[in-house]
Amino acid sequence: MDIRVLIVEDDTSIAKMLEATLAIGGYRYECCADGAQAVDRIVSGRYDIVLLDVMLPGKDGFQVLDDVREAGDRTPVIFLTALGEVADKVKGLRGGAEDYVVKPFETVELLARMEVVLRRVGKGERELRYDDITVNTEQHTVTKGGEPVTLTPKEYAVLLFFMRNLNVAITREQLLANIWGYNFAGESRSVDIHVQQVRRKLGLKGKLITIPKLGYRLEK
Amino acid sequence: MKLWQKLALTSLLFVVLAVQLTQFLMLERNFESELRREKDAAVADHAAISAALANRVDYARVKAGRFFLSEEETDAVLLEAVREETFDAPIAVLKNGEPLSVPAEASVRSILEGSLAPIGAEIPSGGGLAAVVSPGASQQRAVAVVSPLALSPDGYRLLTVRDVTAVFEERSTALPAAGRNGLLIGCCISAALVLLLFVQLHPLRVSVKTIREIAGGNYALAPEPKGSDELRTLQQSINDMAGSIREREDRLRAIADSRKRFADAMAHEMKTPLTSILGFADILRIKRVVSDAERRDFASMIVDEAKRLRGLSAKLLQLASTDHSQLDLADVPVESLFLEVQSAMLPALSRRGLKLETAHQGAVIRVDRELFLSLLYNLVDNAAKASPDGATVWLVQGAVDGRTVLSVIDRGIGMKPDTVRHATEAFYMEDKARSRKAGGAGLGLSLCEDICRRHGARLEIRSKYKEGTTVVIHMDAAPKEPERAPTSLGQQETSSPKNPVRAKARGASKRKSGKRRHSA
Repeated sequence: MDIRVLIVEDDTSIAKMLEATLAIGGYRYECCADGAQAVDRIVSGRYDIVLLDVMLPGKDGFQVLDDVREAGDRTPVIFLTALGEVADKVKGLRGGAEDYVVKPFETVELLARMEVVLRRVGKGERELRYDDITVNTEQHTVTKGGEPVTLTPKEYAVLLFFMRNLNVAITREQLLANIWGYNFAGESRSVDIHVQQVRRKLGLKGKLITIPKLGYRLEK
Repeated sequence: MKLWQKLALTSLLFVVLAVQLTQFLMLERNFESELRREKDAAVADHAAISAALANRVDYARVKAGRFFLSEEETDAVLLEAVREETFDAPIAVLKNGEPLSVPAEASVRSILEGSLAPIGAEIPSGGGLAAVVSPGASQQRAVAVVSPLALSPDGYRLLTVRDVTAVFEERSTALPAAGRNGLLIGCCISAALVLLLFVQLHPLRVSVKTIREIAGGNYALAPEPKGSDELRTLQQSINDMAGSIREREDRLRAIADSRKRFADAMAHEMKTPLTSILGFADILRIKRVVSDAERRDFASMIVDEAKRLRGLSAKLLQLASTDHSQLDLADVPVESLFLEVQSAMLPALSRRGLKLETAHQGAVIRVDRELFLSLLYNLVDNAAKASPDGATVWLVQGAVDGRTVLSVIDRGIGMKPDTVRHATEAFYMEDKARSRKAGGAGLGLSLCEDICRRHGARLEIRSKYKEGTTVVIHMDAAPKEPERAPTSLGQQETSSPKNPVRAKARGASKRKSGKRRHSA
C-alpha cells in the first residue's frame, strides 16, 4: 500500500531530515514550507497523513489545522513542535490533530507514531510479509511457510515492530518504549529474551541480527 | 470589641452618670428652697400668732384698766385664747419651759415631750428658733418655731408647728423617678450616639473592605473617599496604594510575559537545529546502507546545524554578559571607531560589491570601545544583509540638539511597521528562512539595544518597507542604568563588578566580527 505523506516544515534542514526518515519507512512524500499553501494541498486530498510544523511563517500550524478541518478535510495530522508545554499539546489534540511529536525526536520514534496513527485511521498494512513469514495484523496471526506459529502477545509485537522497520537498527530502549510502554520499569534483559524467542520460533537466525552496542536489525 | 461598640459603651456610662448627677443636684436644690419657703411661712405664721396673743393680753389689760396684769390673770387670758381661738398652726404656750395647758395636737405634744423643750428654754429673750424636727412617726417632718412672747411679766414662750412631711415625701419619691428618667434619657442619647458613630464610621468599614479586596488580589476597587477628613485621607491613601500595587503587578506581568516569549523563542531556536542534528545522526546510525552521497549530505547538514547552534549560544552568552559586565568607559573619537568598523567589515562587504561610506563631525564619545564596536558591527552587518548586492551602506555621525547621534543607513528591503515594533525583541525574525540563510538568529538588534541601554543611549529604528532602514543611536538620551526590560537572559540583580564572563564575551564578539568578514 502506498502511503503519501505531506511534510509541512519551513526549516530546510529539518525538511530534508524528514524526507530521509520517510524514505527509510518506505513512504512517498512531498514537502511544503508555507502554511497557506499547505492548507490548499492538504484539502486537495492527495495525502494519507500530514506532518505539520507548528511555527510556520504566514500561518502557524494550529491555524493550518483549523482551516483544513473547517474545509471538511479529515486527513490525519501529526504535529511537530518545539513547544514542549502541556497546554500546547492539549491545544494540538483538541484542534483535531491525531498526535504530536516533540522536537527533537528519533527517527524510529516518528515512524512508530506514524504507524499508530495510520493503523487507527485504517490505512495501516493488513498483511506484512518477510520471506515465507506472513503476519495478519487484523487477526493477529503469524504463519511461516503456511504453518501457523504460536507467539505470545509481546513476541508478536516485537516481530511486528521489526517487520515494520526493515533494515533499520532498533535499540533496546526503542523496543521498550514502543512495546512495553514508556513507564515500564523492567530491564532491557527481558527485551533480549523476547528477541531470542522470536528469532528461534521463526527461524530468523542470521536475519534478525544483533548489532553490538546498539540493538537489533531485521535485514532483508 | 469594635471601636464603635467601645465608644458607645463608654459614652453610655458617662451620659448616664452626668444625667443622674444633674438630676440629683437639681432635686436637692429644689428641696432646699421648698424647705426654706416652708420655714419662712412657719415663721410668718408664728409672728402673726405671737402678735395676736400679745394683743389679747393688752386688750384684757386695758379692759381691766391697769398697767400690769398679775401672773395668774395673764395665764388665764392666754389659756382662754388658746382654747377659744383657732390659729393657722398648732400652737403651745410655755411658761418657764412648762406648757400652760396640754396641747390638743399630737405633733405638738410629741415635740414638747421630745427634744425641743430644753432648746426652747435656752432661747434668749427677743430671739427665736426655727428647726426641722421629726415628731411622732419617723416619716413625719415638721418645722417647729419657738420664740418668747413680748409680755410682762417675762418667761412666756410660744411654740408653733408647721407640718412639712409633704416636702420630704416629695423628695423621697422624686429621687428614684429621676433616676429612672435619667437612665432612660441616657440610653436614648447613647443610642443616638451609636447611630451617629455607625454612620460616621461607615467610610472606615469601606476602607477595611477595600484593603481585604486588595489582600485578595483585586486592585480595581477604588471607592470615592468619603466622610471626615481623616477617613477621607485614609481611603485616598489606600486607593493610591492599590494603584501602585496594580502598576507594579502589571509591570511584573509584562516582564514575565516577555520572559516567557523569550524562553519560547529560545526553545524553538535551540530545538530547530537540534532536531536536524539528532535526526540525521540517528539516520546515519540506524540505516543499514548509506550511500557515499547520503553520508556526505547528512554529515554536512549536521555540521551546518551544529554551527548554527554554536552561533546561537555565542550570541546568548554575549546577551547575558552584556547585561552584567562592567563597562570599561573611555573617551573615544568617533573617527577611530568608524575606521575600525571600515577595516573590519570592508573585506566581507566588498565580496558582495557593497560599499561602506562614513562621515563624521569629529565628535568624541564616552563608551566601552569593544562593546560599542560590536554594536556598530551588528548594525552595519544588518544593513548589509538588508541591502542588495552592490548597494551602499552609510555610517554617519551628526548632532541633534547638541547631542551626538550615530546613524547606520541602508537603501535595502526595509521593514513593515509591525516588524519595527518587535525588531529589538530577542529571536524576532520577520522572515525566518531568509534570516537564517543570512546567518541570523534574531538576536542582533536585541543585543544592540542592550548595549545602547548600558551606554545610556537610545536606539531608534526608522524604516520604510522596500525603501530602506535607518538605525539611529542617540547618545546620552536615556538614564545610564534604567530598570531593565528582560529582553535578554540577564537577571534583574546587578552583577558583581568583576565578571569573569566578560573578557570571554568580548573575545567572542571579536571572533564573531572576524567570522563575519569571511561569511557575509
